Amino acid sequence: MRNEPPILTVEKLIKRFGGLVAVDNLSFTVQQGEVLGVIGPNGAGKTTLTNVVSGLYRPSEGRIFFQGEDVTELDAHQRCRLGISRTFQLMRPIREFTILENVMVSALFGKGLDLKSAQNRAREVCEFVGLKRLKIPIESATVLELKKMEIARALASGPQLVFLDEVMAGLNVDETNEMIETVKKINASGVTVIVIEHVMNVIKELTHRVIVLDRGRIIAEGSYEEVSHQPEVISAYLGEEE
Amino acid sequence: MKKLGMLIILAVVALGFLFPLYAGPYPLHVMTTVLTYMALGLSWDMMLRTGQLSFGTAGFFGLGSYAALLTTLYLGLNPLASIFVGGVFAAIVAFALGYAILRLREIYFAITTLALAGVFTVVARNLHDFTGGPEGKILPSAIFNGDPTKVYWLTFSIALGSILISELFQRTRIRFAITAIRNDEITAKSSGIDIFKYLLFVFVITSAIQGVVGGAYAQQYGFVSPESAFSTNFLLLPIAMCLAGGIYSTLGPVIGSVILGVLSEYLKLRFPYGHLIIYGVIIVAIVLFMPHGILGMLKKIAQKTRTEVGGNENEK
Repeated sequence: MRNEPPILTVEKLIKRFGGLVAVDNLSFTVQQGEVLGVIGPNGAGKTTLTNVVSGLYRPSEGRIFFQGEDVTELDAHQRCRLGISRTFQLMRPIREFTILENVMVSALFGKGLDLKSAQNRAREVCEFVGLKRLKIPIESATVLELKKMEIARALASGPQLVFLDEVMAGLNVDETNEMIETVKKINASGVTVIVIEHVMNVIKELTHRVIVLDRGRIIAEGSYEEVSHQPEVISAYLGEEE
Repeated sequence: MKKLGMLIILAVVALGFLFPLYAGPYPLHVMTTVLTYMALGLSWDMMLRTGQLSFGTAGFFGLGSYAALLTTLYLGLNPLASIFVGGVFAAIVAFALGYAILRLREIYFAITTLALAGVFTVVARNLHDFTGGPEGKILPSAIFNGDPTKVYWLTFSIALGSILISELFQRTRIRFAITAIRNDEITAKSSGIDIFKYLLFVFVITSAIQGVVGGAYAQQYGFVSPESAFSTNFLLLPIAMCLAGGIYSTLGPVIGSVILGVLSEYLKLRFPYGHLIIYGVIIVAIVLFMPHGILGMLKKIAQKTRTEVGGNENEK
């Protein structure tokens, strides 16, 4: 695995919002087939990093390479079609659509399928993540169903790399375990996964490697066991709800 | 059920097509006007389905009017072909302007489209040698020599074409793209939708429809002037009709234009003085009490009777 070129390379990435530096000179790589965990206290820049890499924000400085190609100047929809997809921490369903139609959107435009194939693909992906009630309107979906729908939508575009932004937040123990199995299945199907999470057990269960962010910088990197004992990491988390 | 629906649609289309054979000249004229507004209303609604509120309807209508009339006047172009030119001209202008203004959103987009229509009017009024200035230009004869039946069929075809385009929007992947854009642009682009491309596409198509309708209108009277071509009637009435009928659908603007169009004529006959006040009050009442239009209300009633008749089968 190590010999292959990385699927994602982030070089000296900086994102400023006015005077605030949300992502401060980040450099890291993600290997094909890996599950990378990104942790850090609230405001550490995890979601900003996701937004910059998925193309919703342009970086202030730095470059992003995906599968060897420089994607820094590409728009979000172009990166989605290339194979970078993501879920939203605050779920963003299309409220006028059913669950199935929501998932169909990214099969149609992210993967470029026609209506019929997109519907089939959406059904497959929904089954894959364990969604059963496909034709219900969004307002009658449960939180778990919405979280699964976010994942299904991210998968329906046929990505090589997917960001899962706090998909376990707000779930109970059984639901979390089910979700962990789903993420393992996603990774086993060949998709590289970046997990952004506050729940440490999830990180421990899932990830091969962890990056710890604090105030936009990487303060630790390594396996879960390595980083969880570093004093910087423990102090960064002191006072957090965790 | 589906077959029955198809039959009803075919029957309505046939009735509409054969209208000149059983209706007198006055109803025929009224229906021609209704169909003009129907096409404009549909085009406005199609743009609204992307989440963009356009006030440019009258502007592109006017551009089509001028393009059609002047090409016939100066180049001797066949009036039917000139109507097509009106649509193409409006589409080209929409493409060029859309490149700049489709980066705007909400009220900023709305105001800009309104301002552009104002600019078109000023330009038309001031190019005296070319457009005839404030007096406008007159053709030696109206299209089909003013035969009301043929004019009706022309307008009918344009309205039918607009209905077909609108249904194409509703039944293909376009619906998924523009509904997603309207609801949440961030989700839309993260799902791979090229938002700008779709907005530009819809803006060009709807402007082309408005240009064709304008071209047909100008040829119908053989006349064009800034006041007639860019009249706010062509902006406000279609919007009122869509709101009354129900937005985000094909049927809503169709129902709205027929009901409000016929109602307006009826009120004009019944109350020669003050009919516009009553008309205005009715529109306000519809918008206030039926926020989803007549279509939305009908759907609600249908849903209610269904649950009452069939018990609570819809509840899970």
